Amino acid sequence: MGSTGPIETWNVNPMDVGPIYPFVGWEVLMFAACVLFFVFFLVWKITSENAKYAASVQKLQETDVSQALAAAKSTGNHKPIQ
Amino acid sequence: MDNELSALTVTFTEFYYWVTVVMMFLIHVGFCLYEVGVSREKNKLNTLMKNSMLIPVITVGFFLFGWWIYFAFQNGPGITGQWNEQTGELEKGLKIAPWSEPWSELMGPHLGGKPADGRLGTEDTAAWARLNGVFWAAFLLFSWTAGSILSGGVIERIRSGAFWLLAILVGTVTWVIDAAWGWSDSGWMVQLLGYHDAYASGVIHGLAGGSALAILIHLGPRIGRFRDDGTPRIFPAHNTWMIIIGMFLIYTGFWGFYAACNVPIYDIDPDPERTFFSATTIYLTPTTLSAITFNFLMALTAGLLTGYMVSQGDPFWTFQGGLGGIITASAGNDLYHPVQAFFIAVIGVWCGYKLHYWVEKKFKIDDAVGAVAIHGYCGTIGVLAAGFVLWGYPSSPYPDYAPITPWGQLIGAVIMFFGLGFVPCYVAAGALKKLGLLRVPIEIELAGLDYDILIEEKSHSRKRGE
Repeated sequence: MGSTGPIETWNVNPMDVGPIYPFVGWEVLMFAACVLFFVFFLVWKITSENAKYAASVQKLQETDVSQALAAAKSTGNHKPIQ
Repeated sequence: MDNELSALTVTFTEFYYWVTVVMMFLIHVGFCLYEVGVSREKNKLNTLMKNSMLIPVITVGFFLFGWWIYFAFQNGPGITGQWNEQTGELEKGLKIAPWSEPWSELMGPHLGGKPADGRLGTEDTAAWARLNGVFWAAFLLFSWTAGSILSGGVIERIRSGAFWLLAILVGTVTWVIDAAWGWSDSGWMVQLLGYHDAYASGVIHGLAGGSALAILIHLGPRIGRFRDDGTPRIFPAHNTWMIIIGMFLIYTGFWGFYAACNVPIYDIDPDPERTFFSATTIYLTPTTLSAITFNFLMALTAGLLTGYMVSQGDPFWTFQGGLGGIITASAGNDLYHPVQAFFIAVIGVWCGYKLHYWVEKKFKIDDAVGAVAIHGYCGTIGVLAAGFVLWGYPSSPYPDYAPITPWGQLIGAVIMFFGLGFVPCYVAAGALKKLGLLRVPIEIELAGLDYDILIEEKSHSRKRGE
């Protein structure tokens, strides 16, 4: 019976054995899949964070936090350094 | 692995780095505790997740391209290209390092025998099969540390998504390029400038501190941090014990970091007829674990004493001082006498503390944990100090490399703090700010970054009738 990788028996000269993981030869495809997942995660994070904050801001504007906000704005302390 | 001595050497080295990686994990545990402790109650969960999630984000990036950058980018000056005096030509291009490519068979389980990839030789597989993963992990843990250094300064107002993008930039690109240039046995900064930074004062701490400063300039202070007259308000930490335990864990992990910066066993005798095994630095220059243990503890001690003195007994700055002491002495702790390490740490922590408050007052920079001071200023001072104290020492066993000099260290410090630290992050953070992705909305900052979680909890509690 064959296997998913280059190993079908351990009764060999170890000096002849290189990679021992399954699907040797598919590394570039696995790399591409990992890149796609990585990019997807980052895009998902940025977009979901924007949506979450937009929803929270809307909720907060309906509460009395708006008073605190007005007070903070009047000090100008919230402004980043220009 | 065909005789007992070579097998023991390889497996000892493999195990040695594996242990250092486990120890270094404590640095990240410490940073998490410390940052969450410093943050206010309303921001603690966001602070925790922002820092914790840099682990997977940086790890993937470091697997995909960071490890390759370290080996490929060692030519210079600049990203690639190096003047070769012997041939009188500029050597161009990236170095070939097939074992570090993300699709290499050596980035997976491998017995070290016959390679499947024709570009690899049996020497490559024999050398890297058992060391690639543990070396990769040791560097990766340094990458997490670089990301964590940024994380502390920017708490309570940065968006996590933006922070992770910046952490990827620093943890998998800029610090790795500076390591390729100045923290490898054949980096161009070592060859041409004699740059010496054995335990990463500049390559990690100086660079990350410069990066943090650039982000803080764009990010701005937390709401209410400065009064109308410009004087700063103190935001009390929500849990002092988390800060203190976190700091002790960072110290503990730092031991592992020191060990990980060494090559544990290497033949340093230049005569091929003889052998003399010793631990070496990453530059393959000799040192001993004994020497760095002396110096680590004396620098820690000096930092604690100075931090306590200069802050008049403030616990936060006393503990930060301990860390700053180690960071300042790290560039030359492979060679310093312990008393030299002690006084270099004293100078670094004193200057770092004073600079922190001067910058805060003058430029209204809100560095929530003193990251720029302890890592950026102390690290940079440490690089400069090594140039004077180790002036004329060889930077490498290779005789054609430049020796250590104050000007070589000065150029190196500028490259670390500004060139690869400040500038890329200033540009990236500026771009994120323009896109409106850098800072959380003002309403959220006032309500607390855990607002949505708390609201959800309340709503669930109501549903459960609590």
